[in-house]
Amino acid sequence: MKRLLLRSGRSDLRRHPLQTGLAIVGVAIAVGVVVAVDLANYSAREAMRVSLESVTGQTTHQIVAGPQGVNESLYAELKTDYGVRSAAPVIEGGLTLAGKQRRPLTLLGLDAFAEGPFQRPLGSSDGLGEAFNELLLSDQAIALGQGEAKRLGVNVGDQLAVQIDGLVHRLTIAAVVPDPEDQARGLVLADIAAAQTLLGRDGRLDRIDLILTDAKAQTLSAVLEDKKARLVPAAANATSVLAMSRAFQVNLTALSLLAVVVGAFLVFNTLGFLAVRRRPSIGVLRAMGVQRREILWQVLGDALLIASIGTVAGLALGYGLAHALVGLVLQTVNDVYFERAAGELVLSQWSLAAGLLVGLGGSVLAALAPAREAAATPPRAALSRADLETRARRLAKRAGILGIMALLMGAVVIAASTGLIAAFVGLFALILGAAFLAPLIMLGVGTMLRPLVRGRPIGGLVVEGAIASLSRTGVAVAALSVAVAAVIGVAVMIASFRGSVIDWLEGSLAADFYITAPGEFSDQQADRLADLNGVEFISRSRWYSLPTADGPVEIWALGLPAGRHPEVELRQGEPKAAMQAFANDQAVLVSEPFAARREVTLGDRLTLPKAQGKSVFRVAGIYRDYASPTGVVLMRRDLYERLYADSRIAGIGAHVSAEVDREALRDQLEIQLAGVPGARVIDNAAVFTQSLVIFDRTFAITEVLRWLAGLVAFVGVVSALMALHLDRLREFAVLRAIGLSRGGLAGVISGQSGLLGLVAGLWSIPLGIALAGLLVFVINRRAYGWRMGFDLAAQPLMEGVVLAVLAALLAAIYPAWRAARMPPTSGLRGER
Amino acid sequence: MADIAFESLTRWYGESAQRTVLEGVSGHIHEGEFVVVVGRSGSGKSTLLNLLGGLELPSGGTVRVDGIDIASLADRDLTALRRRRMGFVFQAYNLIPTLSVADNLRLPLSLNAIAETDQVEQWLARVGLPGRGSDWPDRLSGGEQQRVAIARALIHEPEVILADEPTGNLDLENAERVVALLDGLCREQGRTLIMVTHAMEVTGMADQLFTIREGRLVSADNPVPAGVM
Repeated sequence: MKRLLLRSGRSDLRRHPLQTGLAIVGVAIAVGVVVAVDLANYSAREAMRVSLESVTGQTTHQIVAGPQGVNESLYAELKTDYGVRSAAPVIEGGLTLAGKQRRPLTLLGLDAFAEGPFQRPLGSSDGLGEAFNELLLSDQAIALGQGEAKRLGVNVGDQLAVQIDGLVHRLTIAAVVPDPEDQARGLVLADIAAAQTLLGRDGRLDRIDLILTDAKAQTLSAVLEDKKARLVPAAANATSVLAMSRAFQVNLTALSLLAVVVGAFLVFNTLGFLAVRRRPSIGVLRAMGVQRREILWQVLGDALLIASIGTVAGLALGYGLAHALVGLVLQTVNDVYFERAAGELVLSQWSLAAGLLVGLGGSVLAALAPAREAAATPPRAALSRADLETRARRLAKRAGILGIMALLMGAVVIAASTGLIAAFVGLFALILGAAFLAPLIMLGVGTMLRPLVRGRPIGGLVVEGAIASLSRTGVAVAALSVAVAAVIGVAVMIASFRGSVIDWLEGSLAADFYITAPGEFSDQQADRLADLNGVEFISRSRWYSLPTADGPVEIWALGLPAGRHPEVELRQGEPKAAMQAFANDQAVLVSEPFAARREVTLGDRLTLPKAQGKSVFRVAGIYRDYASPTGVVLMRRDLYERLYADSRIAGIGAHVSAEVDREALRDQLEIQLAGVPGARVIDNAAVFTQSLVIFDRTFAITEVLRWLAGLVAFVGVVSALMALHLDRLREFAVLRAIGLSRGGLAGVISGQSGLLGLVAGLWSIPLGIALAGLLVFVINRRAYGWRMGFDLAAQPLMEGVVLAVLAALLAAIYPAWRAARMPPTSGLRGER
Repeated sequence: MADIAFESLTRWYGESAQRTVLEGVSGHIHEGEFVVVVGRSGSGKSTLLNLLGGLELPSGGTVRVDGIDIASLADRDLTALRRRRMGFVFQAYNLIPTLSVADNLRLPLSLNAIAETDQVEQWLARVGLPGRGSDWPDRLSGGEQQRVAIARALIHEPEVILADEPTGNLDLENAERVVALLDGLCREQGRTLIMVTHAMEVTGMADQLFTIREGRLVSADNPVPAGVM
C-alpha cells in the first residue's frame, strides 16, 4: 500500500510538471538568495579579517604616538632597556600603481629580522629566502605575495611603476612569497628603511608591533607615558572595522531574510496547492482505509522531494549568485568601511547549512499545515469547493486577527527597544502582520466590488473568481504585497537617504574648489593660494586616525580664518554658542554617527589620548554627517596642532568671491600648485557628483537584493496564479462552450490576475511606507546613527503597484493562452 | 431555425487514425426535431454531439449548419455560432461556481448583448426555481443545478440545444423531470434538441434516434436493437 501511495504521489507530481517545476524553482530561488547573501557577507568578512591580519599577524599590542609617528629610537630601547623580545617596527603607507590602472596598494615596511614571531604572510626571513639580502640592501626592492604578483602580472626581477605622494618610483620585485590564502592581497613589502625613504618618514615609525602578556603590557604602558607614546590593543582597529561593517551586513542579511519570508509564502502556497489538488483522491484513499498518518507522510514526502531538488538547485544558484554579489558587497565595504577589503568568494559551511535549513526545513514546515489538513479529509467524497473556500474565509479572518496582533507586537518591540536586532524583529513582525492581513484585505475589496458587478456576469467572473478562491489567492496576495512593499520601502529609504545626502552636500560643500595632493601641503603653500586675487579665504584640513583602545577615532582638524565657522549643520547644540566654543575653547563638534556609536551627548566630556597623556574636550555640538559611518571629531586646527604637534595640511578648501572668473582662478590655483606632486584642484560640483556616484555604488547591493526579493515574489505569484487558473480549466471550457471568445476568456483570466495584483499593489503601499519609515527612522538610526529626512514621492509607490499588476498579468499569460487554445471538450473532460 | 446535416463524420485522436472514436457517421437533423443519440459508454455518442455543436472539429467529413461547413469557420465565427445559435447542457451541470444562479443565467444574455428585462426571473420560474437567483450553485441539489443549466442553455433563445447525458447524475424522479422540462421547453419554442442519453424511456419521445456502436452509426430512426444499450 505504501509503495502504491508513494507512486500515486509521484505520479501526481509528474502529471503536473508545470506546477511541480514552479515549486522547485520557488524553493531554489529562496535558497539561492539566502545562500548568496550569506556567502557574500561571509566572504567580505573573511576578506576584511585576512587583510587586517595580514598587517597585524600575531601582534597583541601596538605602540603608537601622534600623527608624526613613533621615534625609531624607541624600538632600540624596547629591545635593549626593557627586554621586549617580540617587537617589530612597522611603516605603512599608501601607493598607487602608476599608469592607467591607478589601483591603490599598501606599502608595508617591516624589519625581516624581527618578523619571525609575528607570522605575517610577508616579511619573515624564512619566506623571503635569498631575496632577503636584496631587500635589505636596496631602497627600490620590494616583495609581493604570490596572488598579488599574479594579479599585477609581474615576476621576480620585473619592475613595478608606482606613485607615492605624487612621485613615480620604479620598484624592483625582489621576491614573490608563497601566499596560498592570498593574505597579502594589496600589500607591497619593503624593508623598513626603504619604506621610510619611499614614504619620506626617515627616523619615524608608524607603530611598533608587540607580542606581550597583559602584565607586561601594563608595565610597559606606564613606561611609555614618558616616551610620548602609547600602548593600544592590536585588535581594537580590527574589531572596530568589523563591528562597523557588521551593521551593514545585518542590513543585507535582513534583506535576504525578506526573500526567505516571501519564499516561505511561495513554498507554503505551492505545497498547499498540492494538498488541495489531491483532496478528491485523498478522499477516495481515506474511504479505502488509508490512515491519516500515511496520507500525511505521502504529502510530506512529496514536499521533501520537491524541497530536495529545489534546495540542491538553490545551493548551486546561490553559489553562482554569490560570485556576483561578493563584488558588490566588497565595493561598499571598500567605499565606506575599509579600503583594503578585497577578496574572492569563500565557501562557508554555515552558509550552506542555512540554505539547507531554509530549503528543507522551511519546505517541510510550509507543507505541514496543508498536509495535516489533507490528512484530515473525511473518508467520503472530498469536501466541496464551497466548503473549502468557506474554511479559507474563516481562516482569513483568523489570520487577520493574528496579523493585527503581529503588527501590535512589532510596534511594541520597536518602541520598547534600542538595539538593531530588536528593530529587525519588529520589522519582521510588521511584515508578517501585514502578510497575514492580506487575505482579509482581498476579501474586503472583493466584497466592496461585488455590488458594482452585480448583474454583470463577466465582471462577476473577474471579481468572484479572484475572491472565491481565497484558499489559493490569499497567500499569493500576501507574498506579492510583502515583496512589493519591500521594493517600495527600500526605494523610499534610498530616495530619502539620497535626498538627505544631497541636502547635506549642498550645505557642507561650502568651498568652491577643493585642493588635494597625495602628499601634504605646507602653510606657506596654502598662504600663497589664499593670497590669489578672487580667493576670499581658504580652509585648511587635516585628517588623523587617532588610535585608541576602543578603535581609531577620526579627527578632522579644520583651520579657518578668524570669524569663519565650519559649514556643518548642527543637530544638537545652539549654533552661536557651539561655534563660539569651537573657535575658542577646548571644545569639539562630533558627527551624529560618532555620537551614536560612542554614546556621546551634547555637553559631554570626551577624553582622547594625545601623544603624552590625555585631553578632555567638551562636546559643543553634534552635526549632521553622512561621509563616515564610524564618525568624526571636528577640532579647531590650532587646538589640534597644539595637542598633536602636527601642522601638515591634507586638504585645502578655496572660497572664492562671486564675481570671479572661476576657470581663470582655477588655472591660477593650478599654477601655484605646480611644485606639489600630484596636486589636484576639484570644483565643488565635481565633488558633489563624485559623492553621489559613491552613494549610488554603495546602494547597488541593496538594489540588487530588493529586486531579488521581487523576483521571488514574482515566481510565487506566477506559481500561485497559474495553479489557480489551471485548476479552473473546466470552468473556462464551459465559458468557451457557451460562446465566450478566446479574447474574452483571456480577458477574464487576466482580469482576475490583474485584480489580485492591484489589491496586492495597493496593500503594499501603506506597508511599503511603513517599512520605509522603519528603515529611515529606526534601522538606519540604530545601525549608523544617521538621522535623515523622509522623501516620499509618488513614483516608487506607482512603480510598486505597476510591478504587482504586471507580475500578476504576466502570470496570467500562460494559463490564458492555454485555456484559449485548449478545445472546450478537453477542459470539460477535466484534462490538464 | 437551424438545419444540421452531417456527412461521413470521422474523429480520431492523436496523430494517426489508430484511436478512431467516430467513423463515417452521416445524418440530417431538421429544425425543431428532438433527436436522441444512444450507445454504450465510449461508443462515440458524446463525440458526435461535440462535433455537431462545434465544440470540436472533425478529423474527416463535414458538419453543415444551414449549409455552412462549420470546419471552414474561423474560431471567432465558430464561437459566435455557438454563442448565438446553440445552448449546451452537460452531464456535470457545469455551472460557474463563482457566479450566483442568476448571474449564471445572465451570462449568455451578456455574451450575446441581449438586454435584460425579466428573463432571469421568468426562466427561474419556468424551471421551478423562483426566487433562487441569489443562491450559489453548490448550495443547490443536483436536479436543481441541472434545471439551472437548462435555463442557462435556453435563456438566449438558441436554435439548437445540445444536451450530453443531462440526466446521468440524477435519480429517476429528477431525470424524468429534467427530460420533460427540456422536451417541453424546446417543443414549446420550436427549438431543435439533440440529446445524448442512456435513459431508454426518452427514446420513445424522439423524432429521430441515432444509435452509435463502436464509433459507427448502426441505426437511425429505428427502434433500439436489443443488446445495444
